[in-house]
Amino acid sequence: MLLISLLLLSSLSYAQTLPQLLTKHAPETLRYISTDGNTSYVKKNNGVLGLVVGYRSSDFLSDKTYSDFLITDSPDKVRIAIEVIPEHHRELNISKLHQIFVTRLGQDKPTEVGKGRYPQLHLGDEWISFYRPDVRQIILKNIITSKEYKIGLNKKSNPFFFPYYAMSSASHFVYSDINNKGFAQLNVFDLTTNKAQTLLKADQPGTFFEICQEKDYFAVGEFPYEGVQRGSRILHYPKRSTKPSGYSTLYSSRDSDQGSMVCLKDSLYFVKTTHFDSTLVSKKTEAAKITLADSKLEIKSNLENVTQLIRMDDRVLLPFREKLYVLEGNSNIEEDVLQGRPDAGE
Amino acid sequence: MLPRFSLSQYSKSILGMALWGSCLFSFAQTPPLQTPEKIDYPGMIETFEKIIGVDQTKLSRKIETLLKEQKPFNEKIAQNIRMDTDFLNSVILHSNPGYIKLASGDKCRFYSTLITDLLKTAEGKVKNILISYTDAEDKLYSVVLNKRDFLNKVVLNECPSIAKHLSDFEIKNLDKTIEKILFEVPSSKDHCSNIHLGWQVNPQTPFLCQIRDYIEEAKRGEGDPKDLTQRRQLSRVLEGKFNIVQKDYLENLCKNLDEKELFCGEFLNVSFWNKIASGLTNKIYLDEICKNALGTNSLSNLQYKECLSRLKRENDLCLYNPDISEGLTPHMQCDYLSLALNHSRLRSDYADCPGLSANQIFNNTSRLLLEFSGDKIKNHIGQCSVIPTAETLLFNQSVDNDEDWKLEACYFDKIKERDVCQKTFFGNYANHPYSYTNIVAQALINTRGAAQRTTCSMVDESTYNPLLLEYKSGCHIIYNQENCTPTDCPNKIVFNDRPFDLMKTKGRVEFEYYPLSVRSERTAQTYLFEHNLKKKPINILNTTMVKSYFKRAKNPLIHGIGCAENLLPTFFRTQSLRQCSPLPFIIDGMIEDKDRFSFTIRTAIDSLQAPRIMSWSQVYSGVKSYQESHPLKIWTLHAID
Repeated sequence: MLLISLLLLSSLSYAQTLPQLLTKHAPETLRYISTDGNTSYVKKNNGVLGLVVGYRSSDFLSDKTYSDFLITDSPDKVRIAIEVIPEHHRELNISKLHQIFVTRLGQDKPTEVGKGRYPQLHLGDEWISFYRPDVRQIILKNIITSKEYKIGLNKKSNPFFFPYYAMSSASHFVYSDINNKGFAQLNVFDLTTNKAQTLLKADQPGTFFEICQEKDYFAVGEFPYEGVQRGSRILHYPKRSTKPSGYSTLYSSRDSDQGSMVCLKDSLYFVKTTHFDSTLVSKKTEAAKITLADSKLEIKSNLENVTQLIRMDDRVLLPFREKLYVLEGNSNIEEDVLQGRPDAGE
Repeated sequence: MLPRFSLSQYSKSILGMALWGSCLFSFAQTPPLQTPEKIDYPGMIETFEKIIGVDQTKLSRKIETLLKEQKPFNEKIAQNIRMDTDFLNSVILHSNPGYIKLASGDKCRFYSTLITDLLKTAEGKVKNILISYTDAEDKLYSVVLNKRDFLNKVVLNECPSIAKHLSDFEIKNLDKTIEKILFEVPSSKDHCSNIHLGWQVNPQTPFLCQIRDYIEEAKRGEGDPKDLTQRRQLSRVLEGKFNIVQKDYLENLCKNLDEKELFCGEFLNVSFWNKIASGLTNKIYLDEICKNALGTNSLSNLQYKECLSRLKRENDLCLYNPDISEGLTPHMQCDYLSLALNHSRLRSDYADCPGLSANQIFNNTSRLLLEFSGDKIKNHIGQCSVIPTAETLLFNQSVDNDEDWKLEACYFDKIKERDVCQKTFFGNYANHPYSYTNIVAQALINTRGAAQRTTCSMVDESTYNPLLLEYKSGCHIIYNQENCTPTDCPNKIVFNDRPFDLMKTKGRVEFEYYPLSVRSERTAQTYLFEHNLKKKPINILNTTMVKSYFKRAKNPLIHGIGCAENLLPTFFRTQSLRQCSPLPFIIDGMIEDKDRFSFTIRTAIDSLQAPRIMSWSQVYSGVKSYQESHPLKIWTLHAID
């Protein structure tokens, strides 16, 4: 892969307007929607999570009135992870544990797998990992066999640290951490030996490693935290062997980019800093796309304060305040199109 | 004689006009100064030197003549007392423009500035004052008065309030007077403008600057050499009345009375670390940073100095600290942190352990409460997150709103044959009856026959050693410091070297920061601020409202709740639709550049000593996203009036 030259930035094309995601559901209730719009999970007012498949709707998970629900899917589209957030508006604890359930995508039979944060499904959705901030452990669990691994993180760093993780193969689990001196680390946990090794270490303190993956590769981004002036880089690890090794630099910049990477088959999205005002210590950020084949960088939004990007089914979404923009995938699934009878003539 | 102070002659003219414009000076008895007939070489400085020369000659001649011819001044018949025009010309030409500005408000301010030796004439310090007045028959007179007569016969008659200030600034009363003066440090340009204006109209300012000038003159050995030793002795006494911070403050103020930008620049542009070095602000901001940098648990003055010098060179020194209780890290780099601290004004003279808090509502609420009350932090046992928890509880109890405190410690009482439960929090704060240590002690008294005076200590499991004599007797609550918050704290109790396992806890605290339903509106913390503390909230919806609020408010504070994923996106990622972790925050300062601005902000998980800088756009996104997830869809960004 080519190292992107800073000069390239001058020829960036700015997106005009992004389409908003239009669905049949009230935007604030929607928690998941498939690309075809046929399957969706919605939050009801009284602490209930409902599933809508076609015209059939069922309420299947209920909690207290002020509980909220989050849904995480995976590119394998077999299962989803559901988080139940208790007392969402009364217990304002950024590290509180959520109840985590899994169910097959489009089904309403959840099974509890544990308590923690940021669940991720891996390898055909047969594995799930989540983080427990109270004990500073990543739990990696096989959903079928219930076999569980506990991976401890450094306890002396930021109490509000949340790691990134990905299962690169059936035997290796990659996760981020921060050492005692504030240097970001990327470790690989070997499931066969139950031991972790450092894969990558930051040169300077004040940055974090972020991970996203696709079928053929996984990417590691190093970005600085807010209030720290550092450059950014994105590394590309092809999945050649079970243990990750050998990367190429996909992107490198002096800008303090924000991250929030989304890996796709042929491209990678992230939030890029397009302007930094050193007097006011404030920046403008936009969604950017790198094409893997030629490392071409494109700015895809024009909103000035993009904070996060999400992948959901085959869409890349940009949540911005109350709106939800679509960067990749179809945006209008509001209309119902009745399919004609197969035998009906013209 | 050339003027003592180098200054812009233009500004002198402007300030002079202000003096002329005041009601003091209406009689023009002498013709205006003539332009010199011959100018050796053209140029403003040359012309000005000649003007001064003419002024000096003219004033001394006039005094000389009047002293020979004048009638004794009788204040009982004198009317329409005015300053003499030539005297005034001389004052304008020879005085520091800052002091002219100070004198230009009204007659009494002019008199105060004159009698405190801040104004000068061609003769230097004013010894003789030329005034004009009319008698009962409206006949105009001019007279020269010495300073004493001027004070007694004119100043105290026309401005009796000056007598009080004269008394306040006598050496015997000086301590008390200084104690009452607020040397306010600004947190923003607008705030600083208000402070600067306040000093300009403050009747005490001339007296404070007199002391500052007196000390400076004595140090430099100026004035009459005969009484220099005596003046130096007195100046040492005066100097001892002010602390180093107040002295620096006065230096800045008296030098820059007419230069708001320079006055404010001293506060807002100088590195915050220099302010700490000069004693202008509390060392607490350095504590954790320096302990980490030097790898020590306590800091001597020498170590502080060493650390300060490293801070100026090593920008990353501020990022991390070893104590997780301090909250979210990394903080900003040292230069940004210094900038944020320079513009921040929230009370931060204590630590409240956001890293060990189970509910960020407590941190935000107590930060506001302690800012409003200014109360001393009370003694506590356990984590320092006991402070925000107990302060929030105390406030809610004081307004009869602790029903939602449902966290209870219970034990089985054999005599009563039932569970005895008491509301609680883990730790002890000012011996509050809900303190867990008190409840455990009471349980031991009731169930184990412990002595009435039994008290319990809280001991971190890493320091607890059952073999040590100190733990062989008494009550000890053993807990894990890194896994204990005031509302959730796994622990075991040891009493007289034996475990006591009757204690159980149940319930939780269900406070609302903003109301979640119409029914619960009256119990929300924001409602209590408004109705019980009379802190009126103002909805902040756009940048115009922000700017106008910061311009107007004396102590600007904005608080609210936003989604952590928008406020701090590099710390908290979004991976699901509508993911929003509600995070309370307080904005307490504004950094401006032309018409743009950023905020200084502390989210409830940030250390009090490490604010962050955030753009309006980030704050707005955070609040707007939270509004979407709020059951009532209310706007959660409010300024406090």
